[in-house]
Amino acid sequence: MKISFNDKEVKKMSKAQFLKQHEYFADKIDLEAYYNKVNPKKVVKGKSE
Amino acid sequence: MENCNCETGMHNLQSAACLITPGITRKYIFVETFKADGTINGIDLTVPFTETEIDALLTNSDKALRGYMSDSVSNFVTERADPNTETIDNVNYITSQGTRTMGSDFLASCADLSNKINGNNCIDISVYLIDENNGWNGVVTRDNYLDPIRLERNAFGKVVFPTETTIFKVSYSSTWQKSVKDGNLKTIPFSIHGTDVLSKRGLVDVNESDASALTSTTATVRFTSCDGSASGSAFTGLLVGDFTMFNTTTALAVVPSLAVENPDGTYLLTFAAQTAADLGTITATSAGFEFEVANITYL
Repeated sequence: MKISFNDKEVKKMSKAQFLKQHEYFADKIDLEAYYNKVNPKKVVKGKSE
Repeated sequence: MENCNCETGMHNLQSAACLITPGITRKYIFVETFKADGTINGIDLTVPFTETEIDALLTNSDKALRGYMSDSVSNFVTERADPNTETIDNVNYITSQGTRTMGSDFLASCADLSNKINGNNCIDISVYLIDENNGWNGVVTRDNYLDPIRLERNAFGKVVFPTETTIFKVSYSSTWQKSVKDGNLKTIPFSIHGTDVLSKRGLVDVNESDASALTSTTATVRFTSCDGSASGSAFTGLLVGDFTMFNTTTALAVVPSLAVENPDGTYLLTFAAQTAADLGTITATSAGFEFEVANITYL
């Protein structure tokens, strides 16, 4: 099975939307992990007091 | 027949010292005879005609302007029949030129080539002959253009079965249109276009099958190219960015977000849900190929 995501499209989606749209593949692909890879959480560095 | 010009008198018959003559034809490049504006689909000799222009011609997305290159040609023969005559007082007077037939064999083509050849007869088709020296042969009947050789709509392709002593082939025959004169044949030689045209390949058809929507956000399609087998040869390796989807009901593009190929040549596409019963299309692009457009109904 060869898989290719359109990361540009994935980036436009919310996680819920992404999971819903790709639920057909939920048992074949770790969708959540892929979404998190494409949309890494931004780490905001806070100023130390 | 050729009209005499009594004002200029007889023509000098001596040729120049250096001659460029057609070599044995090894490939055809078919074109539609006319452009949309009614002018002949010829090659403008006042602008560069090099590999760039040749590549653009062979892959033109406008089918009416594309050059359709054939597989390699074998056993090319062409012969003009004797002129038609009227015999008066035992003297044969020429009334019209004889027809020129052209034929050849394709040794490495699918049987469906015969269908394609026969199916092209509804279109006014012309041909350039690419010879063994990469000479690009056509006719000059107007200033600054090499025009293709216009054909009658009687092209015929047939499958020739192999025997104990012969191999499988697709045989092709056609007739030059009556208006084409042998004397107008001209060549753009390799020294001008500088391109190994014989090493070029025309676009290859990729056929779709089994296209359908599976859910509101998924659809499947299978792409194959002709290899002579009943199921065709799976077209593998397409990525999500190679696909183009369209909702014809809303006239809006649908962008697939995922393509899964499983098994080879069968693709499952994921996209944003469309309104149920909307109609749509799926196709793909890959350099050197032309994909059939699949129709689906969204769920």
